[in-house]
Amino acid sequence: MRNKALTVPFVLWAMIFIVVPLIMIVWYGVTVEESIPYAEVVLEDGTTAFELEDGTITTQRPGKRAVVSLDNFKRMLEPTYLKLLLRSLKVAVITTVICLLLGYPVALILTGRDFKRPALWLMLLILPMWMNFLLRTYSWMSILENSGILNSWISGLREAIPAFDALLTRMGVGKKIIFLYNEKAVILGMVYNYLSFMIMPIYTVIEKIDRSLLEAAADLGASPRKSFLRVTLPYSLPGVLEGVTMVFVPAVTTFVISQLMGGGKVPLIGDIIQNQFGKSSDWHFGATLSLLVMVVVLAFMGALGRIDKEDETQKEVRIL
Amino acid sequence: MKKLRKAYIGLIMAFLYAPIVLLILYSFNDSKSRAQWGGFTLRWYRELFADEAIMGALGTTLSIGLLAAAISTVLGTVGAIALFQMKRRPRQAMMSVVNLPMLNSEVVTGVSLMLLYAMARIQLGYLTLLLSHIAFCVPYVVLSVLPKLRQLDPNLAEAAQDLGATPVQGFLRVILPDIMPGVFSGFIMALTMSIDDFVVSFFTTGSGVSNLSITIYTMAKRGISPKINALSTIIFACVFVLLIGINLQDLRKDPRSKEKVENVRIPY
Repeated sequence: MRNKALTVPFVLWAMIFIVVPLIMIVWYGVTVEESIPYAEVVLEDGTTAFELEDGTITTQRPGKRAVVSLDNFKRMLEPTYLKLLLRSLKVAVITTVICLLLGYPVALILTGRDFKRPALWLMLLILPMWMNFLLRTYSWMSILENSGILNSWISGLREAIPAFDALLTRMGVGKKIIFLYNEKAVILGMVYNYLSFMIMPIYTVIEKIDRSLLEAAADLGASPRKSFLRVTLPYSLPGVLEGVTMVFVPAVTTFVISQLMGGGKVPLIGDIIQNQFGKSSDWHFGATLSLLVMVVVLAFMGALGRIDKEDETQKEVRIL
Repeated sequence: MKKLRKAYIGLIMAFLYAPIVLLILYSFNDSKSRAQWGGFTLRWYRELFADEAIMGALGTTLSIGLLAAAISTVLGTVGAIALFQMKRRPRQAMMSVVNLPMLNSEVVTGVSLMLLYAMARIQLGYLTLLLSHIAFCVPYVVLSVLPKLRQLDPNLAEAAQDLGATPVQGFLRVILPDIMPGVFSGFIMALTMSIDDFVVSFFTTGSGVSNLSITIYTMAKRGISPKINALSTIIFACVFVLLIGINLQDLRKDPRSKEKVENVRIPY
């Protein structure tokens, strides 16, 4: 079934929609826009024309051109943007750690013997993921808003139980508690959205661990704790790495959750990129920041040793 | 201990489902503010269906989803076969290229495609939205078809040709039926990715074309309307029925089989 007729269109497609767009980011990233310098001249017949640097004369007012410049890289290193990058990294790391701490036990428990139908439970755990993530984020907004569900319940409780009201007042809690529009709210939104990304791969890996290994460990006198530390934990590491990547990458680049849950008060690097292509309309700087994000993500994956993963699949192909 | 473990799963389930349950409850609330319960009503559902912006966006989401999934399934299957036939070096190079969109964050993919359309001077709109969705769906189809091709018996295609089948016949009668599960799961994955996408759509659409994600985003930024609660409820009900249906069938075949877990369809 060798057939070049299939290869050519596919390679062409991949070039146009994967390679060229990335080259465009690099090109925009290393250039800035500047006005073409010109001098106004009056021609013999009295009309105004424009003389360019190289001496050509044109009747059209010269526009803008892209020139290679590292200005945007310098701008990127300004404290404002570095602070944003650091905050994005901080929020993403906290989110990933919380997801790992919450998600690992879930995967572990579900692979144990407590649940007769682990597959069903797993499906129920990932079911919310099938709802549009904006709707999921939005549902938290409507709970945590100043006039939202949680606040109305709390004030209801205060009216019903005077002692509770007195306690809260003494603790200095105002009538309306502000839950939204801060970093904690953004992290909550991310954990809620990405938790299943952590549970799934860890579950899949633990599920595949050979049970006889655990039995052997027990036979050889290992306590449950020890057999977890010596068998389950090391074998589950690939799943943990996969989960960490799947949470960290979207967390470090998101701009939606930070805007909705943070109300624009907790801008992340993704927000600034979005801004450059929207309100600020500085595509070149936006592209520079996108390059930065690409480098951060690639460095992160490189550190986790995840880029080699493709080589493994290659080996499989080669054997066949 | 056992109780503790079950309680923990219960707690996580509560965390995941509480917001959704509340949304559903409040979609029937006859009061504009969510602070009070004003009695049962279907008003928000009526208003939802009368809202042309939301209904139009729903239409865009579904048509883009189906078109993008169909086209990227064809392209991805072709791509998988092309990759499979290549010699080792070019295949490795192409695999890295195909993997790029999955390594990259969505923001980068969205921005890069937007710059591509700007360079090609294509006005942002329905066409660019569709092209972009195809662009980020194809790699997933390729990766879901490729393993099935590897499992194929290489003699089968040759046998078909020896018996006088043209390459096209050989593909349709011999190869396609065998790789069909991979093609199908690629299609489903593409469909869900497309329907759920916001970030890439945000950068690559224009001139008034907006899908559900973008509409919800703009509405949520302006303030919260109970109409979105009604919309969430409907979407959740559809997804719930669909997934339980698909997966229960799988599970019922052999309730004790843990291998079946892999058949649970996941959205990534």
